[in-house]
Amino acid sequence: MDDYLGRQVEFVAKLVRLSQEGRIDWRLHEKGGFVGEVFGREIRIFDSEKPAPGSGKVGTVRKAPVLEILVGDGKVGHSIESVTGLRDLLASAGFRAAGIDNFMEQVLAS
Amino acid sequence: MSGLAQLNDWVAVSANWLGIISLAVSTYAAVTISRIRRDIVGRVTLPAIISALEDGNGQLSAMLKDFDASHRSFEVTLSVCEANLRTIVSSRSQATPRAKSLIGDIAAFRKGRLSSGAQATALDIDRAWAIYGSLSGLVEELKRITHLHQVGG
Repeated sequence: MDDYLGRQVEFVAKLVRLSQEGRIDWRLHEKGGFVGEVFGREIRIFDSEKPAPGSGKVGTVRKAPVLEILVGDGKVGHSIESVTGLRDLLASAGFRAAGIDNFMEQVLAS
Repeated sequence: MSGLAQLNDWVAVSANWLGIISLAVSTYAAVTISRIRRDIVGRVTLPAIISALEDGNGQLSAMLKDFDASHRSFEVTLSVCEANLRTIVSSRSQATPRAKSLIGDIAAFRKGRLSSGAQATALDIDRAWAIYGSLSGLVEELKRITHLHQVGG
């Protein structure tokens, strides 16, 4: 595995940890997915639909999570895709943005 | 008499050569079997192992959200991942050293958990997250190996 891909995997794994520890404040993004802030930078994670290779059927798509690092004006500065851990990050962002923790606590405390 | 001695010598030399040829054939067979086994793991079982490891790793990250509440499930999932790692080690693929190192990390985590008792320490949590990160790296490497197998036909 080349160094850059290795760094990307480490980066995503670290983001998953920060997200699971509640250190990224996720919210819904108007274009879909979730946006959060980490170390003063905005990141967005969402499911992107891409043509499924080798499916044999025209129009068959597969969903793959994409992580975007946004620059000041909301434009995409860099995007990361096809890296292990992105699906975990998307799941974590959805869980946090939907406030599932608080909701479960409320229900259990009632 | 000398004819018999010559025959004896000839038989002895022939036996030595046959022994060497037999050893070469055995070595070749062992290498071929090992290569075929690696190939089968690469083509057939590796995609299933990658999928299982990726699922397991995702579950580990979800459980790490509240480790104290889910430490038993965490241990079970970790054991499943470890079993898959042992299959990778036995395949003697390029990913074997990384899988071996990860098994060592899991052993260190378990040892730490035994000494820390019921309540997880910050070090336990750090070790668990390190395992998650390393597993992600291993899955990525396995995907690359599978891709190379596919490209190579």
